[in-house]
Amino acid sequence: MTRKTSYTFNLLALAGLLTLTLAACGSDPTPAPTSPGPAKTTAAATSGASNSDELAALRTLNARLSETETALKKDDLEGARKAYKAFDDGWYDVESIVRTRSKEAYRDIEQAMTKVGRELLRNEKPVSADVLPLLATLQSTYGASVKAAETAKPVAVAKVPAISGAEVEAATSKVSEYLMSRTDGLVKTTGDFAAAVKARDLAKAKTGYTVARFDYESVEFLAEAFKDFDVAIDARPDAFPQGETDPNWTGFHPLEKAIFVDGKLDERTDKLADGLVKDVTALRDEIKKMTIDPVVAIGGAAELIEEIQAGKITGEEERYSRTDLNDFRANLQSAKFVYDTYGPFVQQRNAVLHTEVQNRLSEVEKAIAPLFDAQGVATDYTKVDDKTRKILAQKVEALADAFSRVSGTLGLKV
Amino acid sequence: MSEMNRRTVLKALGLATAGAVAGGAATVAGFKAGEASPATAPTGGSSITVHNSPTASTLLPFEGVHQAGIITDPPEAVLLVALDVLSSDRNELVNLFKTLTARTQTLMGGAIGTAGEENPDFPPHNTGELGFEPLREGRLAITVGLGASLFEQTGKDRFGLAAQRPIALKPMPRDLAGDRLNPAMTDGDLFLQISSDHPIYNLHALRDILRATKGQLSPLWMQPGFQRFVEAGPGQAKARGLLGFKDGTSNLDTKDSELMSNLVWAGADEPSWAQGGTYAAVRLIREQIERWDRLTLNQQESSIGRHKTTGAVLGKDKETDPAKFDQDAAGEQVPLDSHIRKANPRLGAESEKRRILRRGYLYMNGVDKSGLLDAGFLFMGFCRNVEEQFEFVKRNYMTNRNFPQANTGAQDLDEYLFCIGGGYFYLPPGVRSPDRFLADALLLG
Repeated sequence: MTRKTSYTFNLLALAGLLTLTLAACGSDPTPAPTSPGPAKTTAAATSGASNSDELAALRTLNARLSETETALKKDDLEGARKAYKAFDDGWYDVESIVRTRSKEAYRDIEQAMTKVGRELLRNEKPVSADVLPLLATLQSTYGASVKAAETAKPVAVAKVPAISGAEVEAATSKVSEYLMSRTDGLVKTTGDFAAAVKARDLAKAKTGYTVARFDYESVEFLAEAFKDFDVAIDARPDAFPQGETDPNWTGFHPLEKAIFVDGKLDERTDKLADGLVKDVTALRDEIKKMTIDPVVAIGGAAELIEEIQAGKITGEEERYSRTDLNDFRANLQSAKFVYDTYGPFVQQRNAVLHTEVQNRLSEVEKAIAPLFDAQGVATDYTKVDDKTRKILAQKVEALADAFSRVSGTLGLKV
Repeated sequence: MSEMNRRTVLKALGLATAGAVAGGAATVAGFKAGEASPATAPTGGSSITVHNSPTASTLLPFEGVHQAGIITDPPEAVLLVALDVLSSDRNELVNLFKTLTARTQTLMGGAIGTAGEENPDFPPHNTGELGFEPLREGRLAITVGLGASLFEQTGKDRFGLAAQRPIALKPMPRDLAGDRLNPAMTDGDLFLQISSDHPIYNLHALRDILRATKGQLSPLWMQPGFQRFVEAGPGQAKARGLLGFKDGTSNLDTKDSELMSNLVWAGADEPSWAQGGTYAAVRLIREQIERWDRLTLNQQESSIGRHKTTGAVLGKDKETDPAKFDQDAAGEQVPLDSHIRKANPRLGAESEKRRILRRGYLYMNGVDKSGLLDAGFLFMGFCRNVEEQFEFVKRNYMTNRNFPQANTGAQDLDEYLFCIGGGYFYLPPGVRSPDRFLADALLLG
C-alpha cells in the first residue's frame, strides 16, 4: 500500500493516534478499495472523526471502571461486581467505536477484560487485591482509547491543488486543438452528408450520416453545453409532443429515419439538411469562442463515458440506423484522447489510478473492436446480443468508476 | 475455546441481543446472557428485545468460526444476489476477496462513513441513504457463497481451484422434477445473502459492495425478500409463508451445536479450507397464490399435512406435538403426499441425517404477464452435504412418485409452486482474525 502522500494518515500519526488502515491506495483519499493491489484485509478506515455521542458513550463506561476501582479499594466486592458488570455490558455498545479506530486497542482491552472478568466475576471468592492490578491494566488501556478519541481531530480530507504549469497548459492546448479540429471536421462531414441528402442519393446519405455522426459524438459534450443547439441537432422524437410527426423535430435523427427506415428523400429532407448545416456551423462558431481548460476537458471526457452508458449501450441513440456502436466508439475515442493527454499528471499523483484508467480504457476498446469490420463499419446494434451488451456495459461501468476519481486527483472542481 | 471466542460465538447465536438489553438494566438485573446459567436467566428471556434501548448495539460480529447469516437469527429483510467474477486471474481474485472481506467487516461494524471524511472533489464514499453517523443497529449480515463455476466452468479450471472444489458443489441440477428454471436467475460465481432489519440497510450494503468491486464483479441476478418474525418457543415456528401456514416448526435448533456440527457444518470429508463452512441450496420458488387461495381449508391442510391455524400435525392439538407417521402408515391422518411427510418422513436415522437448516423469506415482484401475483418463497437450505441432504430429500422423497409407498405421487404441494431459479453455493467458514480474509485458505493455499 502506498501511503506516502496520504495526508490523512500523516495527520493521525502526528497526533499520536491509533493506527488507521486505509484501504484506499495512493493519494486517493476516498476509502473505496477498488484498486487492485496489496490491499490490507482489515476494514477500511471509515471512522475517525470524533463525535460527541461516541465520546459520551466511551466516557460513561470509563466511569464504571472508576466505580469498580473505588468499590474494590473498600473491599466492597458486591459493588465492584455490579459496577464491573455494567462496564462489561456497556462494552458491547462501544466496542465497535474502539475497534474501527484501532484493532490493537480493541484487542488489548478485550484481553484485559478477560482477566478482570475471570478474577472478579467468575471467581467464586474474588480477592480485591488480586483484581486491582488487573483492573489497573484495563483502566490504562481503556483510558488511552478514550483519550485518543478526545484528542482526535476530525479526519482531514486530502485537499490537492489543481494541476498547473507549462506542461498542463501544453496539454490543454493539445486537447483544445483536437476538439476544435474535430468540430471543423463535423462542419465538413455534415456538409457532405447534407449534399448527399439533397442529391437524393440514399447510399451516399447512409455513409455520410455515419461519418458525420462520428464527428458529432466526438465533441458531443461541447455541443451539449449549448442546449438549444443540442436540441436542434440531436434531439430524439420523444422530446416532442407529437413525436416523429412533430414539425419541431429537426437535426440528425429525422434525417436518420428518412434514410434508414422510410427510404425516402424529398423536399422536407432537403430543408432538414439545410437546417442541420446551418445549426452545426453556428454551433462550431460558438464552440470556437469557448476556452477549453482542464475542468472542461476532464469533465467532458467523463461525460462522454457516461453518454456511452446512458444511450449507446441501450441502443436508444441510433434507433433507425442501428449505428450505436459508431457513436460508442466516437465517445470513447475522444475520452481516450483527453485522458491520454492528461494521464501523466494523474500518474504523478496516483499511479494506481492511472494504470486502472488505462487498463479499463483498453478493456473497453478491446471489447468493441470485434464489433467493427475491416472498413470500420459498426455491426448493426440490434444484432448484438444481450450477453455482449451486458459485458460492454460492465466494462464501461468499470471505466466510469475509475474515471470518477480522476478530476479530484487532479484537484479539479468539475 | 478461549473466553473471547466463547463470547463471539454466543453473540453469533443471537444471545448478544439479550446481553445488550441486560446491559441497559445491568445495575438492576446484573445479568448477562454470555454468563447466565439457566438458573439465573430470567424466565421468558427470549421475549427480550432491544428496540427500545437507545444505547444497545444490535450489530452482529463479523469475525467468527462461521459466517454470520447462517445460524444467527434471521432479521426481517433479505437481499439475495448472484454475481459473476469478471477476472480470470488468481491474484485479482485474491484482491477481490480481500475487498469483499474489508467492506463486509466495515459495513457490519456500522462504519458507514462520516461526512467529515468526504472530499468534495471526489464522488462521496458514503452514498448517504443511512445518514452519516456510525450505525449501532440493523443486524446486518453479509454472507458470501461460492458457486461451482468459480472452481470450474465448462471444463475450464479458471483460477486453478478445481482440485479444491467442495465435494458436493455443482451447478443446481437442471433435472429436478417440477423445476422451471430461468437460466438468467440460476447459479453464479458468487452468492451474497445480505440480511438486516430493513431493506435499506441491505441496499446500502449492496451499493457499497458493487462500487467497491467495479470491474471485478458483474451482477447476475438479485431477489429481495421479507418476512415477519414473531416470538416463539422451542419447536414452534416464528413465521408464516404466503400460503398461510407456519414455516419452521420442525426446523433445526441452531442453539444445538452438536446438531449443527452433524447436519450443517462441513467436516473432515471436505478440503481443509472448507471445513466449518456449509452448503446453501438457494431456491427461488414461485407460488401460484391465486390458485392456492381457491382451495378449501381441507385441501390446503391436506397438502401441507398441518392444521393451518395451530401449525399442529393433522390430528394433533399442538404445534409441538410430535408427528407419528409410523402409527399412520396408510396416511389416514396425514396424507402420504403431504408436504411434511415428503420433506421430513421421520424414518429415524436414515432421514434424520438428511435434515437441513432452513432459512426462508417471502418475495413479491408485482404481477406476471397474466396479471397474476408474482410472489413466492425464497428458500435457503444449509447443509453439510447438499447432495446427501437437500438433493436426496428432493429426489428420493419429495418428488419420488413411489415414496413412501408405490403410486403416492410427488408431494401435492408441487401442484401449486415451482422453482424458477437459485443455485447451489458453498459458504466458506468465517474470518477468525483481523489478519485473515474470507476463503483465504482456499485462495492462498
